Formats: sequence, structure tokens, C-alpha cells
Amino acid sequence: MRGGGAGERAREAREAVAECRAAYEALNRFTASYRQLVLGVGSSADGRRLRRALEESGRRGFELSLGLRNQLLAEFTEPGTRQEEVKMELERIWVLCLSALEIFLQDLGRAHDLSQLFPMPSPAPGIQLVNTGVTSFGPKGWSLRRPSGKASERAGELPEELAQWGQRLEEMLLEMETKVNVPVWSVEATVGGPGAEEPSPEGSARRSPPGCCAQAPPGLQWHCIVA
Amino acid sequence: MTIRHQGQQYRPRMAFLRKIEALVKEMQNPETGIRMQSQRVMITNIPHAMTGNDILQWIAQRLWIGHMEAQNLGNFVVKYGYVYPLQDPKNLNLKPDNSSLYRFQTPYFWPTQQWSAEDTDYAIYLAKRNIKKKGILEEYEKENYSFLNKKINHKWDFIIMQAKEQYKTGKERKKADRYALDCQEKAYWLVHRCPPGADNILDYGLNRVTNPNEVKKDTISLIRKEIMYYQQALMRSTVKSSVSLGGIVKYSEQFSSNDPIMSGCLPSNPWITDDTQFWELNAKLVDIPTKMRVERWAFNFSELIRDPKGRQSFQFFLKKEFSGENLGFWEACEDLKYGDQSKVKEKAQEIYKLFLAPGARRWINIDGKTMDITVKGLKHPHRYVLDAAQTHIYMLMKKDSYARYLKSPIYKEMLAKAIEPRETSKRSSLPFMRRHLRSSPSPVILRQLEEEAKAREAANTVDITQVMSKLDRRSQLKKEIPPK
Repeated sequence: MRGGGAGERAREAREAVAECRAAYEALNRFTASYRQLVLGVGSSADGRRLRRALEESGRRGFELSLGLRNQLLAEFTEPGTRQEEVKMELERIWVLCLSALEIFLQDLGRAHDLSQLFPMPSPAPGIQLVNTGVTSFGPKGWSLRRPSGKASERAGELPEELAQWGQRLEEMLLEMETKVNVPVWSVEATVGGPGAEEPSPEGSARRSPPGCCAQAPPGLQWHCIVA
Repeated sequence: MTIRHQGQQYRPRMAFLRKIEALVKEMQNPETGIRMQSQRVMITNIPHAMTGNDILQWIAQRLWIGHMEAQNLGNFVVKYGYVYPLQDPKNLNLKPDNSSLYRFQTPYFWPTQQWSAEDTDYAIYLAKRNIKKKGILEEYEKENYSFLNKKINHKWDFIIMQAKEQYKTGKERKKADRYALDCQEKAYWLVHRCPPGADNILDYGLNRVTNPNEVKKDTISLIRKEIMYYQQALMRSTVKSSVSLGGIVKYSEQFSSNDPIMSGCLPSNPWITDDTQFWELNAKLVDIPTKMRVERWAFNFSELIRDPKGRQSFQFFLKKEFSGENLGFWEACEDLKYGDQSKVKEKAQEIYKLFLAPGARRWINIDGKTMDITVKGLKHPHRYVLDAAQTHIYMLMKKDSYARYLKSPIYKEMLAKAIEPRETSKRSSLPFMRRHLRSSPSPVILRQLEEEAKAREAANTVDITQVMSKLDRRSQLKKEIPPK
């Protein structure tokens, strides 16, 4: 039995949702950088370092996704009534999580296929890397970001190989889709139609930590067209 | 070649891209491959560019083929997206000169056959470009974008967030790399979501459910099936080819005048003159049919019974002869065969009650054996349970009533009334004249009208049994009135 009145419970619920959202955003960021890595496989930017970075990132991604999933599942299966808002927010994060996982899984599979097409470390004579004009594989000063404590502690154990991860993730995705009864298509987008690459003011006010706006680099030009 | 996609479907017409991949991989060799240059974009130098001429020469030399063939092959390489042009990204052709530059596409973006270019990725790409510079999307891209917005609206939050992240991550790279990466992605989407007017080179035809190129191994069950099939084929009744050919010749001669392609049609062919009068005059249940149509009914019975207007006229005639229930039964059987199969049981029961049961309202006269078979079959009703009875009735109508119908005043009157439309000359249609096109009546409404007409018919039908029973009653009453 939680202590305190309804207000306290609501606040806790909102905090939990905020945590979920932060975890999701980490996953989002990670997916984008993972794709950058996979883009380089087989190209002139390829090399031992890239492959190593791929592996470690893959592991990190796996941790992140497991952690997020466990968090979300905990929220969903927790008994007790919730406010409409919190519920909707949770469903939204769930759908976002599913989409991000789909993309991560897709990239994992492609990385695996491409790694086999262009095997490392020493390419057999005849198999060269494709000259694409890209010479480095990561952003300036690329450093493998250390996994945050929370994500890894929620993750649990990890299987070892890349191929196994792919399989585990697929199973996880399927499980997620079928276990929790959230119809994917019922989630409404908080952003407007095409032309509004920025969430409308009402939307951003509802989200617990201010979303992407806070993280955007200041040099970015905003052309705000609210749908 | 045939590949299996998503475990469910086969794509037997996909291009064999592995061959191009092998060639492209060979082009990378620093000694025997293509000569690389660097491309100058403003102040940065981006390596690994090639001139079109170099590519062409290399292909021709490597494969020992002539100039035209090499050009063709080079075009394929560019069209499939393995190499993309730098100066004119939309023109996916290999220009064999020394000034147009090309670059290789990264293997992630190669059109390997198992990866489909997902809508989500495309939406993210368009969103990224929109973020970079508002309004840079072309018309067709804007359309695609709003279409995707409606289609995958539930993922839209994710798409925008991911697009922002990818844009941010992209900005963190070296300038030269960023430029090359942007070009790559743009080239990829030009191939996989080609602009309107460009050939979609990745179009491979339909996804098939079975593999048409599969060579099935001969198993015992397969051979057993074949044997069964051939045995049944032997049992089918056959006709001498001379007889069937003679039949075709006769049919063609008879129908040649009715054929719109062989002998033109009156008033005019709507596909040529845009004049829909032909269709209006020959509508299903038009009041006054055309002369050709009525004449056609005299050719054979199936023509008469296939034409709804002919059926209507025939039914009218049959009612006069007190054998209207035959055609009614025939129509009910057709409905059972081709209608809604979920109601088969109810329909069969109704037909039995109405036509077959002893003392039924519209009892049809079929012989005992057929009646036995039918009643037995009705215990487990299915589509074809009334076939025997229907054939019997059909033959009855054909041999008996049909001949009388053709001699009857009803048919003769219909023939006399039938109109022969005048031929309209080919109207010179001014190209800019707006023709006022009316749509034909909705099939839903037409069907409703038909059903109402049928219901009215059923209600008004006077059946022989009713009439006979009335006569019987009257005579009985007369008898019962005791003579005073």
C-alpha cells in the first residue's frame, strides 16, 4: 500500500513515466548512432575499429532495449488505477519503443549480413572494401559512450554473440507486441502533420521532461510551423 | 531468379543483382579496378570519384564486350543504385564522358533483394531533409510525405524524434564525410522511391504464393494424384474433333452479325465515339430491346435464358401456359449455385418448400427418380444439390416450351416492337470540348430494383395448384349445395 494520498501516487506515477521516457530517448539516440555505424560497413570507412565499435554498440543497444522493456512492463503490469493521461503517455512510449526496436533490429540484421559479405579482419584477395568516399566511421572524437548504470542494471544477463542478440531481440519484440494489449494504431501523434517538425506547444507541455527541443544544438534553425 | 521473401511469397522476376555486385566488388581493386579521382566541392576534397568514361572503359575491357553492351551494362549499374552520379543525381544513366563523375554506393544501401525500403525509413529521410532546410522537398516528395503521415500516423512521433536524432548525429561527422553520406542517402531514395516519370527499375512484378520455377520431386502421393487425374480425364465424355470444329464454324457463322468487332455495332461503338447510347439501349431490363438482341433469342435456348430481358419475356409467355414455375425453379437453382453460400441451407429448404414438396405452391413436374435423388441430396445441401432437377427442367423448357414461345404472339410482338438504332456518324470531338459524362446507375440500386421486382413477381404469381385448388373448391361447393 503506497503511503500518502492520491496526489502523491500521481506524482510517483508521473515520475515513473518520466523515467521511461528518458530511457526511451536514450534508446532513440543510440539507434541513430548505430545506424551511422552500420552505414559504414563494407565501405572505405570500414576497419577493425568499426567492427569493434559495432559489437560494443550492439551490446549497449541490447542492454538499453532490455532495460526499457523491463521498465515499461513493470509499469504496465502494476496493479492500481491510473489517470487517463498517464496511461496514454505510457502507451505512447510503448509504441515509440516498439518502433525504435524495430529499426534497431533491422540494422542489427543488416550489420550481420554485411559483415559476412565483407569479412574482417583480413579480407581475402579479391574482396576489397567499396570506395565510397567516406573515410571515418564515426563523429569527431567518437568515443564509445559508457553504458549508464541504470540501464545495465535493469537489463539482466546478455547472450554473447551478435546473431543470438538478433534472435533474442526478435523474440522480445514479438512478445512485446502480443503481451501488452496496446493497439499500435490507436496512438495519436502529438506532432502535427507534415510541415511541423516541431511538436506543437500543447504537446510539449504534456511531456514530462521537455522532449527533443532541449537537446537540439543551438545552431539549428527552427522554422516553426504549427500544424 | 526466384527469391523467397518473408517466408511467404516468391518473387520469380527479380533481377539477378548478385552478378552486378560481383562486378562492382571487382571495380574496387586498387590495381585492377577503376581509377579514382577526388571531387572538389567548394573547399573540401572528397575522394573516390570516377568519370563515366573510366567506368565504361573498365567494363568493356574487363568483360571483353563492345562499346554498346558496356554502355548498357553501365546503365544497369547506375540504375540499380550501385553507383550514383554526382552532378545530376536524378539522371540514372552512365554518361561516357570525362566530366561526369560517379561514386560507389555503400553496401548498406545496395539493393540486396531481401531488404525492402521501408516506409518508416523513407518518412525519416524526408523529415530529416525538411529539418535541414524547410521547403526543400520536391512536389512528389511532399505528396509522399503527407501520404505517409496519414498512413503511419501512429509512428509519427517516433519518426520525427528519430529524424532529429539522425540529423544531429550526422552533423557531428567530418564535413567531407557528411557530404558523401548525404549524397549516398539521396541516391538510395532516388532509386527506391523514384520520382514520377522515371522508370521504377526495382519493379519485379507480382509476389507469388507458390514458386513457379520449383521442380517438384516425384513422390508417391504426387504420382497417385496424377493417376487419379488421368483416370478421371479418361472417363469424361469426348466428342470427335470434326464434330466440335463443325460446331464452332456454325456458331461463328450464326453470331458473326452480332459480333461488335466483326460487324460493327449500332448505333456506334462507345469505345470509339464516346457515345454511350449502345449501352443504354442494351441495358439489362430495358423496355424496348434492340432488334439484334431479340433475333438472337431465336438462335438457341441458352441465348434466350441468358438474357435477362429474354427471361422476362419467356416468363410472361410461360405464365400464360401455366408452366411459370419451371423458370422460377430454374432461377432459384441458379441463385443457389452462384449466390451467397452461407445461406445454402435456408435457400435449399425454401426451394424444397416452394417447388418440390408434395402439395407445394409452385410444384414442378419432374420424374420420380430425379425427385428421389434430389430429396435425398437435400439432407446435406450444397451448391450443386439441385443440379439433376435443374437439368431436367431446363431440358423440358428447351424441348417443349421454347419452340412454342418462338411461334407465340408474345415473341412476335416483341420482335416487331424492337428498335433498330440508327448509326451515328463518328462525331468529330474537339479535343477541348468537355463531354458531360453521366455515370450509369449504381449496381447496388440496380440490384435492389431487381430484388423488389422479384418479390412482386413471387407475390403475384398465380400457380396452377392454386387455380386448380380454387376450381376444385368451387366444384366441391357446388356439389355440396344439396339439390333442393
